[in-house]
Amino acid sequence: MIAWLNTRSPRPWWALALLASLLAAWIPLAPILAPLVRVDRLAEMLDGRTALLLWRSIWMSTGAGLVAFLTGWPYAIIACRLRFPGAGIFKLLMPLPLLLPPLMVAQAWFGLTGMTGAWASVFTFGVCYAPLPALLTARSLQHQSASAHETALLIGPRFAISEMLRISFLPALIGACFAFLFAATDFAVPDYFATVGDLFHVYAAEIFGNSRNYDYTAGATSSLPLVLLGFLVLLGTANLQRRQMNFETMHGRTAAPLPLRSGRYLSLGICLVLLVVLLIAPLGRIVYETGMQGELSTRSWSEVSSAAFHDAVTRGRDDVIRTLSYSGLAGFLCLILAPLWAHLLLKSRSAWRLLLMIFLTLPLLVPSVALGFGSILMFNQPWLENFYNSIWLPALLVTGRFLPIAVWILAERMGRIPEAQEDAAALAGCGYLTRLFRYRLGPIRSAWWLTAGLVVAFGVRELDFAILLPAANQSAAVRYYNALHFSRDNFVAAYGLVLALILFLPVMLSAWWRNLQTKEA
Amino acid sequence: MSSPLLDVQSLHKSFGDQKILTDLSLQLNTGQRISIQGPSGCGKSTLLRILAGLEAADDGTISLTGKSANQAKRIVQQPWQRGIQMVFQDLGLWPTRTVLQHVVDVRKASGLSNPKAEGVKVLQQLGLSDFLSRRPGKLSGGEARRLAFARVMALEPKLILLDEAFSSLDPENREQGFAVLEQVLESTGAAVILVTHDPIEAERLGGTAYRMIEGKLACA
Repeated sequence: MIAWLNTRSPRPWWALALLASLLAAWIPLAPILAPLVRVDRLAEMLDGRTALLLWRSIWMSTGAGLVAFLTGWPYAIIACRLRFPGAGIFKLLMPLPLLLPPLMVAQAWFGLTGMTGAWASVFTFGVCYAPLPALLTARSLQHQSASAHETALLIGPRFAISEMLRISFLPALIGACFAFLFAATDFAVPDYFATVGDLFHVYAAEIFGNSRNYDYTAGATSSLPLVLLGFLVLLGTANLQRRQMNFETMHGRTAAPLPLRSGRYLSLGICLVLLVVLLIAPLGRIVYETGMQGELSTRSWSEVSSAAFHDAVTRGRDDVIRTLSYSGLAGFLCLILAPLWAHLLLKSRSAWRLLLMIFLTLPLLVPSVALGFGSILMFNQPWLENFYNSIWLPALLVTGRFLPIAVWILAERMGRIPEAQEDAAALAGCGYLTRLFRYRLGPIRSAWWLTAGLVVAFGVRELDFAILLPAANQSAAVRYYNALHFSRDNFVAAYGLVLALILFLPVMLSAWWRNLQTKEA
Repeated sequence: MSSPLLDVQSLHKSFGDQKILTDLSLQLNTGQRISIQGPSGCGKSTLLRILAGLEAADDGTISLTGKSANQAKRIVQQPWQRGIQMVFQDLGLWPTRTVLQHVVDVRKASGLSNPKAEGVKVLQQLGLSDFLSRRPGKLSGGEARRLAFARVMALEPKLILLDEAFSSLDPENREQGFAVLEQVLESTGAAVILVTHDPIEAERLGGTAYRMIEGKLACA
């Protein structure tokens, strides 16, 4: 049996990975894509009102992408490539804002500034997704040829910095494109700002509106314009990524950060301001809200806050456990599937790779709420009742949706391991799984665990399809959403912070583990 | 008597417990050629990086035309203030810039006159005038090497450091590389230090040949 599992050919395993993606992501996508075969229905889909909503979504998301670009790009360049006090901490904290639920960030900024309406959504999405351009910028700078950087440094520091800007511009732009897509497909934030202030309706909220009259088919099909938009942007980013590949080197030294004299306090200041906007201010406000009280209250802030945390843990515990169960299951599935997918991408020729990338990535870019509608339509069948009501369904959806993130990270890290190591193992007669898991994944085990941790974190953070699916209704994100909409009390803030802690955990553990390994080395 | 172009005295450098450079001294005059041979990992590249100001020494002094560039661990002159240019083994070309931009940009950034006209002239001299709008990724190995030298030539440096710049080349391409180097040296009048593990390269360069033994230089 084991000998059969460890076959020398990778093809059966790659087929398994493709089948799993088909089941987890593309079956729920089928009802969304169905109108593509009916051109007449496609034309009916956009009337004047819905076209206006789509246009609003586009400009709101463009604004969000711009904010993400303008905050994430400089933050990453300064934190990763300039030497100043505390640069390491800024680098470490860079991904965290991405893990905060956007709704919580919206709640915090509304509390801090009272902002509402369209611009509040633009700003909130922008700061939530700023880590995307930042992380891609950091990655590209890590792949800048050290000698190219040093040659530029021999000309002058400004020249070296301008070269860094040129190298990292496209990755930052790709990050901004992803920010655009995530903002366009999210309904909860504009919906929240609309309920607390000026009415602002976007296309994703229109899709979600179909759930109120249980019209799941309309919900799934009406999301097609956003799916097509996502597809177009995905093609554009694939093209940008292809151009960027020519600018990067996969092997060799990483350039050392640029030493600064007078500029180091300016760099520290800029990074600090950006970090306050992206992370500290929203978290600080939520911490404050845990103990916030009415004028007539006689209790102190700390008393109210500890009661709120106690309340959050006792009332929300079951939901957190259920969320962690299905997200953990998804993380486990990704532990198996992501290496297979990453290896398949690395071994594919460029045309196939592009197709596979689209197949893999599209489920991440469709509105999550539409994925929920699609799942209901496809899996709510009498013969699938047990599966439909079990945690397997949300686990499968979380896997299908967030697998691309795990695959990107692993493909990137696996690509840096010399091919010769795996070839030597193949010549020695090692089976495929041994080659993959021992020689390709062995040296990057911490990244492998991190990918699973990130899938768990994104699963916990996922709200949109969890609202729709009965099996995910009792989840942490849905409880938070309901609590925020029906009352704005200390419980909401404390519960949000508990969630944030859970979400930060994988990234912080991974950073701690990496640090430990570096010290040992 | 005028100061030497480069004067290195008692240079020390260690990485952890491993001593790389030990009490190394070296003098170099304008237009002089030096080759330093030694096995991989003996500290040849580290010496060049310290001379260029890309890395700090642990102890010792470096002076350039009589001005202090390094004092023990302190870098007094920054890399861009030294008038030194370096060609790396992987050439260090800028992937986002075209051939023309490689030479024009550096002349502009260094405040040299007629950046475009002089840049084009340099490219013509090194046979790159047909590729002005190409990026490095679209150049052949030989063309890319010529571009790396054109960039150095455009900057009119006083000292050129070659860090295994001809390693991994077949004899024919290596000879072409040396021919380009001769053109650059003739045009700029710069001194040159070549580090290599190959005695043939050292012989081809001419000038004074050293070997690096236990962190010190000895005549080859």
